[in-house]
Parts: sequence; C-alpha cells; structure tokens
Amino acid sequence: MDHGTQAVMASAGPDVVALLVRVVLLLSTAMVAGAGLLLVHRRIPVTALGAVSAVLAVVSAFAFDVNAVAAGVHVVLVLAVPLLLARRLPTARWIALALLLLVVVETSLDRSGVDFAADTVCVAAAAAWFGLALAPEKPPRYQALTLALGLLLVGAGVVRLLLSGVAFDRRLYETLFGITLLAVVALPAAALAVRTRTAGAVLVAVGFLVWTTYGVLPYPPDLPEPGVPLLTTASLAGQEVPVLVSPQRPGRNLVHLPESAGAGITVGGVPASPRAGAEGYWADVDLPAGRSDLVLGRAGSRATIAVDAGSAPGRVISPECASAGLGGLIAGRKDVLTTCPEDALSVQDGDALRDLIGFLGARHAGTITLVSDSSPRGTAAAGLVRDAAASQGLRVTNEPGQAALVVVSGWSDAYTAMTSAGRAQRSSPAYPYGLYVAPWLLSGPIVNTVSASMVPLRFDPREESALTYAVSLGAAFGGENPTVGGFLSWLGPAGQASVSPVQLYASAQVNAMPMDPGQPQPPGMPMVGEGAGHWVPDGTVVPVSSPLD
Amino acid sequence: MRLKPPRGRKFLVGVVAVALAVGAVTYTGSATSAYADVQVVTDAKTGADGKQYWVQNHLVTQDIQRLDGQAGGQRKQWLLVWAGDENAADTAVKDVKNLPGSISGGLDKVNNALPGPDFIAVIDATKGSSTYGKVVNTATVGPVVENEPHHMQYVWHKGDTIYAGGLFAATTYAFDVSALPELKLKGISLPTQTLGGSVPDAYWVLKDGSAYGTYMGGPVVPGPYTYANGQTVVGNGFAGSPGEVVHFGPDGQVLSQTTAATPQGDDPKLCDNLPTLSTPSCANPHGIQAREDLDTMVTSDYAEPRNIILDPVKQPSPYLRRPTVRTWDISDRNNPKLKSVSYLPDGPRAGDYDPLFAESRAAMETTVTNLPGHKGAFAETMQGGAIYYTPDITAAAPHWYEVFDDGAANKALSPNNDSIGASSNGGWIQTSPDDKYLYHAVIGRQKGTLGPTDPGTVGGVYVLDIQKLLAAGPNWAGPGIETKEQAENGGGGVLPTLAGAAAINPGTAGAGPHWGAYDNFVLGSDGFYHETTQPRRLAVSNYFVARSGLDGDHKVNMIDLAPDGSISVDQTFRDEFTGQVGINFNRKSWPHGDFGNAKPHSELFVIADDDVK
Repeated sequence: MDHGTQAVMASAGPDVVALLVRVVLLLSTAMVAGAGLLLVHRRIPVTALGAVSAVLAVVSAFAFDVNAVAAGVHVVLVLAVPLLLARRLPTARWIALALLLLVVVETSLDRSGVDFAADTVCVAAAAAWFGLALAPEKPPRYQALTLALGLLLVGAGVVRLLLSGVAFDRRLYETLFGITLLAVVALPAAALAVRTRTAGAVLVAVGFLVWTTYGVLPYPPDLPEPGVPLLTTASLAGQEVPVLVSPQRPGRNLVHLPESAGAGITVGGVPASPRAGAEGYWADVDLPAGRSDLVLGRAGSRATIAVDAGSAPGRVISPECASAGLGGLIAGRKDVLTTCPEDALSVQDGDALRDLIGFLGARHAGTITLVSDSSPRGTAAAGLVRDAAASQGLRVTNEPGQAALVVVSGWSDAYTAMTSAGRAQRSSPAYPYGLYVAPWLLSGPIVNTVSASMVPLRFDPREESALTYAVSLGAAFGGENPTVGGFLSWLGPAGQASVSPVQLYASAQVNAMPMDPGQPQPPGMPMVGEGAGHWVPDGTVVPVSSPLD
Repeated sequence: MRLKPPRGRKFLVGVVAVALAVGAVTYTGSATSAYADVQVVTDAKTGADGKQYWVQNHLVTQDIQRLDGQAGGQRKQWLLVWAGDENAADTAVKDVKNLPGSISGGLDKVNNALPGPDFIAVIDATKGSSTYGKVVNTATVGPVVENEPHHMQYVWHKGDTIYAGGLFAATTYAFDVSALPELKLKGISLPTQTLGGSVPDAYWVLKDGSAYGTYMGGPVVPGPYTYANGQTVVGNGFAGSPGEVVHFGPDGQVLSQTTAATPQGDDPKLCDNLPTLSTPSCANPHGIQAREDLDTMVTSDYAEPRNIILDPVKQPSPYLRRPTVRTWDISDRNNPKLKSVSYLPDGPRAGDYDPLFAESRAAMETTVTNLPGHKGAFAETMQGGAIYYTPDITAAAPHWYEVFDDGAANKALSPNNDSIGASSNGGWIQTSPDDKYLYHAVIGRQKGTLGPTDPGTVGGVYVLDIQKLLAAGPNWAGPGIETKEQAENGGGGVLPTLAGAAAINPGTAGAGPHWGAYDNFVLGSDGFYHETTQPRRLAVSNYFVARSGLDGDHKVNMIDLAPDGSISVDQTFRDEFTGQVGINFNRKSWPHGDFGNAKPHSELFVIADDDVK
C-alpha cells in the first residue's frame, strides 16, 4: 500500500504575520549574503540588515515554532558576515556562501527538480544584485553584471510562470496568484531598464519579495466549465470552505458544503441546510445562463465564487448524484454530469441484491420488510427483490417490523427507514434477522443511525483503492466521508471494469463502549481523533461472508 | 570591494557552483528517516479468502549489531508491543523541517496520508543493554490497516505462538517469535472464519500450544446461529451479543467456536442489548484465563462492544456494561462447556453515584490463581473500580466477593487522590506466578466524572498482597468489603493489603495505564533465560481505545518490582528520541517509516528460542 501524501485542494489561509516576518527575514538575509559574497564593506547597512535578520530568526523560533537548531545556525551565519566584513576578512565570502545556501534551502523547502533550480537561480542572482547595490560605489562592469543577473532573474521567473499551470488562461491576470507570476518576470525586466542603481535594486528587491511568497498564496481554482460540477473554495470569515456546485447548468443547481463548514451559511441567499441521509449542508440555487457570481455568506462575511453555467439545460441533482460527481472531480476527471446513480439499477447492484436475497433465503428469514422509492433504480430494485424473494420462498411486504429490513431506496428514504428501524430495535426485538441496505447506501449518515447493518459489496472498504479515495475525498472536501457512488465515479469506467464477487459486509460503530462524552482529556493527551480512511465515521466495515455468488 | 578573486579561489568558487548545480537538479525535497540501514524481511501466508497476508519486519541493523556485539555476549530479552497506527502524524508531530525562512514548508502544512500499518514493536528489554528501550524492529501487518490492535495473551512461555487480535478488523494474527527480533506469520483468522462471534479481545494459551480467544461481540449476522456443539443462539449482529470463545490452533486456525450465552439468557434487568434481544444476554467475554489442572476456564464480560450515539451528552445505558463472570469446563479442550454465570455483587458505595459506577459494572478482566493448592480467581471492574475474588472456580456456582476497592489504593498513587474507587477505569489484573501478589493497572478517574467539581484521580499500578486470602483456602466464605470505611481503607482480616503502588503521570488525573504484563524470565548463571515464579518487573502501556474517549499518552513504562511487592518506575527505560522515561509511541519515525503516532495497547516479555531454557 502506498502511504504517500494525498493532494490537498483546500488549506487554511496563511498566517499574515508569519508571512511578513519570513519574507522580510529572507530579503534581509539575501542582502547580507550578497554583501558578503562581494565583500561589500559598508558596516552600517550590512550590520543593520544582519541584525534585522537575526532578530526575526529568533522571533520565529519562539513565535512560529521553527526548528531551533536551524534558527541558531541562521543567527550565527547572518551575524558573522557583517562582523567579518567589518574586520575586512575574506572568509566573509565563504560564510556568505553558506548563508546563501541556507536562504536557498529556506526558500525552496519541499520543492524539487526544476522548481528548486529556479529558486536557486533566483536567490543567488538576487543576492548578487543586492551585493552590487550595497557597494559604496558603482562597481566596474556593473552594467554587464546586472544584465546577466537580470536575465537570470527573468529566466527563473519565466520558468516559474510556465510551470504554474495558469500561464495560458485568464487566471494569470484575474487572480493574485497569477499577478505575482507576472511580477516575478516583469520586475527584474524593469530593473534592467532603469538607469539608477537604487531603482534597479528596489525593483529586484520587490521581485524577490514576491518570489518568496510563492507557495503561500492559494492556487487559483480551476476555471468553471459549463455542465461539469464545480469544485472550488470560498473564504468565509477566514475559513476556507470547499464548495461543490452541481450540475453547473442554467436553472436549479445543488450546492454542497461539507460538515466542517459549519451551520449558518447562505448560498445565493438560500440557507444551506442538512439533508436526510446526506452529509454536510445543501442549498438549491438558480443559476443564470453563462458566467455569473455565486455569493456565499455567513455572519456578515461574504465570498464570491465564479460559475459558468453555459447555455445547455441541466437536470435535477440529488445529494447522492452530487457526491458521485464529486468522486470523478477528485479523480481529476471533468465529466459533464448527465447521469445520476438513481437513474438505473446497474447490473452489478442488481446481482448484489439478488445474492443478498439468496443469503436471506438460505437463513429462512421468512418475511422481509422492503423499502424502496419511485426512482428508476428504486423501482427496478424493488421488482428484483420481490422476484428473487419469491424464488427463495420469502414473503415481501412494506409493513415494518418483519424478520429483516431490506432498503433499496435513495438516501433520504433510507435514512428515514433506518432511523425508524433503529428506534424500533431499541424497544423490542424488531427485525431479528437484521437490517440490510443496498450497496449505494453504505455511508455514515445512513448506517450510523443503527447499531449494526449489513450490505452486499463488491469491494472491501479497507483496501487500498477505497482508502485512497476516502483520504482524497476527505482532503479535498473538508473531511467529507466516502460514498459508494463517489467511489465508483472516482474509479472511473476502467476501475469499475474489475468486478469482484459479492460479499456481505457488516457495519457497526465498534468503540468498546464510549466513556463520558463530556469528560475532558488529561492535559497533554489530546484526542486527535481518527485519521482519514474510515469509510464510516467511527465505524468499522468488515466482510462477514464468503463470496455469495 | 574586489570583483577579481585569485585563481585558487576562482577554482573553489567553481567547485561550489558545480556542487550547487548538481544539488539543485538532484534534490528531491524529501526528508531522511530517523532510521538508516533498515533490513526488511517479509513473511506472508495465504488467508482463508485466498488473499495474501503478511508480517513485514523492519530490523534496525545498527542496533541489532550493537546488541550482538555487546561485551559478555548477554542474551537478549524483548518487549513486544502490539500497536496501531494513529494516522494523525501530521497533526501531532512537530515539523522539524520548519526553518526560519521556510515559507513553503512551514506554514499551514496539510498532510493527509493513507492509514499506516499496524505493528508489533520489538523493544530491547535487556536491562543494562546500551540499546535498552530502543525499538529494534517494527513488524508491520498487512494488507489490512486500522485493525485497532488490542490484546495478545497474558504471558508468553517458550514455544508459544503469539496470538494478537484486531478489535475493529475482527482478525486474529498468529506470530512465530522463535527467532526474535524477527517475527514470522504463522496464520491469520478472518472474520469470515469466526461467524459465531466478533471483535476479538484476549487470549489464553494452553499447554498444547493452542489458545482460547474471547470474541466479545455476537455472531456476525443477526438472527439464529448454530454452533458446532448444536447450541443455537439468536444474536443481534456484528459487535453485538452474545459473544463466544474461539479455540485456535497454533497456526491461527479455528478449531472450535462456543457461545458464551446460556440457553435461558441472562437477567433482563441487568443486561441491556442494543438492538433488543428476545433472550437478553450479558455474554460479552473480555478477560480470559484458565487452570488446565482444574479443567476450568474463567471469562469476564465487559460490554457490548459497539454503540451508537443516541444522546451526544449522555453515557450509554449502564446496563450495556456487564457485571458477569463465567466459568467453563474445559476437560474437553476443543469443546468448552459453560458451567456457571455469576453476577458480581454491588458494594457499599453502589448507591452513591450513577449505576454505571456501582462496583459490579464492567467486569473487564479476570485472573486465576496458579498453585495447585489454590482454586480461586480474581476479577476486576473497569467502571465499578472493584476487585472480586472467588475461592473456588470449580464450584458449580462460584460465589464472588468484593475483596478490594480501587479507592483504597488511591492515596498510595497520589496523596491528593480521594479514596473513591468509582470509575477508577481499572484494567489489567494479574496474579503473580507464586500466588503472593496481585498486580493491577488503573487509568484513574477522569476529571468531572462524579460531578462538575470532581478533580478525578491519578492512576498507575498497584500491587496487593493476597497471601492471607489464598491461605484461607477454597472454602473461604467471606465476608468481603461490606462498609465504605473498608472500601476506602482496605477490608482487614484476610482481605488483600496494599504492598506497593507507582503512579504513572503523577499529578494528572485519569492518565494511568490500561494494560500490563509481568516479566516471567530471569537470566540464569548458565547465560540463558529461565522462567521464574517471582517476577522482578512489569511493563505497562498507556492506551485504551481512542474511540471510547480514553486515549492515554501512548507510552510504555517499565516498573521495577521488589520481593516485598513494592514497585517503582524504572528510570532507565527511556525513549530513544526524547530521552524521557517511558517509550513514547507518539513519535514521527519508526523503522518502517515516518508514520507518526501509534497506539500501544498490550505487551509481552518474550525471548528467542535459542536464548531461553
């Protein structure tokens, strides 16, 4: 199993104070390194820059929990350079070189390959330019040197721009991220054009500052494509909230926010609210044709997301359908949402239900309470269950409280049926042969309404592909938990082609009996909660039968 | 300023520039692991479902070589700790790469890795060794993750398979530990092989190498289930009720399954089930020990191991936690017969608090006496905070007496503790092999448990002297603890007396250990290890089940044990990274990788076959 890090779409915004401290620290350090490299003997400005850098490194050690050893090395190097320069010792150049390497590492941490090379070129060239600028007099060959350094800076900027993924669309000039990319090319180019040393150095310094913010600025969301559900984020009162808009067509659309977004958000003026059997918050909004802005709000905070509904008509979207579409988006596909899981009973799901009824028949369950809905899938599934039950000698009824409950409806009706069954089981031995749900109903909001349920599946939720989907979904959408429809979409047609036999799985919240929910944890022993990857929150899903077919 | 350096410096600068360029294009940005030179050895077996299951050893070559080369060539002793990946490393472990100017690496880092593997940590437990306390191997299991590693057997003897259960995965692993520090997988039992029960808890190994395991939860599918012995029970499904006892072969093969339920069911007033059963049952066996010489096994019932949150601010029904202990006739080892179900009596403080904290609630563990002249056994209650004793487990209907209240040990653990035993969160309880002492681990009471102003109690390990009680013989008929004064200060007479106590996390309420094991080996003059009946140390682990709300600090401590029963925390058993006392399983790096925090539930002292006689 590959335990690698999953891509993350949304993360909290940067700490502005930390960002300011660190960009100033990097700039001052680069200037000290440049002065040292070129043995610039200007005591006051170089010493002052070194002091600023050292103070900020110490501040970072205490305020931002940086590595103390690294902070110590940083302080020693950045103070050593002006001291050695003051004594006109040439070893200042070597210390400066080490300091330059440290700035390179600090600037490019977690980047590699061409990105790292671009960082290295930018830091080295900027530092050298700063050294030239700090020299008491204009050095010989200044024009030639700055031309070379300027071209290196422009080249590094162009490389970053081309690698960014936004170089050829409107995000380049419509987003802060794109504008910073333009700046790291334009500013050094402008520095080449100006005549005075000071102006050139200022432009390079600003360009360097902009360069160092890369990786902190949020990557702009993908451009909306009509008919493709839009997955983006909105910044509400400092909280980055993932937003899913389905199907992104003119007319009625379903907007989904994760549970972690919290209550009280409005979307286009419509309050987002929970839906039975679904996780998170949902709002029905109407979109006009073409491009428009969708406004989210909460407690005085507003955020706007750009949508593009195009002109083709859409369709009604259920939470299950939206979740399925989300699975495909997370897998990187941009499929136009034209079909939904409830449109038809798949052959695989039909076979699974047939196997399930066969299992109940073998257990002589007697009479089954069947819960379905009027969707094409629900209707087909109900018919199939009735036929299969008849062949097994089982009686099927809509009356509650029989030997077993079989639910083949959509999410909402399933939630209602399971909640009702769970309530009945608390007061009497209702459904003694158990509660069974169709494969598409294995999700936390449905199965966690009862103490245990059974589901026929063709995949093991604990296997690598299922875990990868679960973790990817949680990372991309505010900790959202998996759904079977989402998983199948995430797998795509190729992934679904490999079909495993049906096994019966049990789902339960195994917890060895919870303690007092309100009791505080001892100091220093915080409950970090469960990591991503559990299909059902706080639950366990394990196979409890051999292959049924 | 000089722009034209000497020729030699030009060369040096050129070399540095080339090195920088090479570094730039080869730098991967990845961090190096704290463990270098790890040898990976995998042993796989095919499960009943046709899939491959494995144990993968990650042997820290450097430490093992250092151990092998130590002066005197002393043979090694190992502490094996069965631990689960927490899968939250990115939030709990300090980011050591966070440099002063590292904007891209240090700010708002979000990391979401797949769940890491669960593992058995092999720790050097050779006292005086230069690598004492070091993790020299992590034997990871796969491919199933999130097993929630729980218990192994209570004590290991030479030649024994190690049986290790996964609470969530309903899986039992069988390990070969004859060639430690490397482990091999002998077999695996999947939930589809134990349809008569679910949620494995603990194991007791028999002299023939087979083992009994308690499966706390009910048959995996609701409705009737018929066991091989012909008994049919109606269960309420996976992780529900009634549970069973599984007899395993040494390779983890299922030899038999026997329900813990009685045909008539249990007391409906004391035994809730969710969903409701037509025949109520308290049969959720957790603790298990046996006396083969008496052909008798004892199991204690803890709780229905699953639950749903019906009310987010309330505890579940107290009657989902069990007050029952069962005895079994095991004269036919593969067909244990349930002999008796005993209801532990409540004690003098039962009416003081919520019924959940009455003495009899949550009979988590039981331990048998060992010497031929003794026929008794002890049991303890987690929420009840009491210790019970029956003098004769072979009796048709053993009578259990409360013989000690955890509250009477509280002051010895911390002078600031009160003497109330309710909700002590007691766990591991174990008689010494010579039947002189009884070891008990208590987590302690969480702050606010008995009311908003309840400060809670510090937990730890305590030792009781049980010699007088056992000397009273199998016909002893009480009385046990009858008054609150006895509960808070000890019962007097033949009842157990406190011999030693050691706090874990002193000063912090509810932060003591859940589990432990005694060291049943001593180094003989012949250079080999031999079994002893007088252990000189214990190991304890500080983790219960995170989902329950009791998470602990994930440390494993060694406890020195004196002949008089007094105990103290071994100050030399220290974490290799932090240098602090106790092995901290909250760490970034393991021999198998940077998987972060782990949850150590249980431990065993084990010695390689070649080093023990």
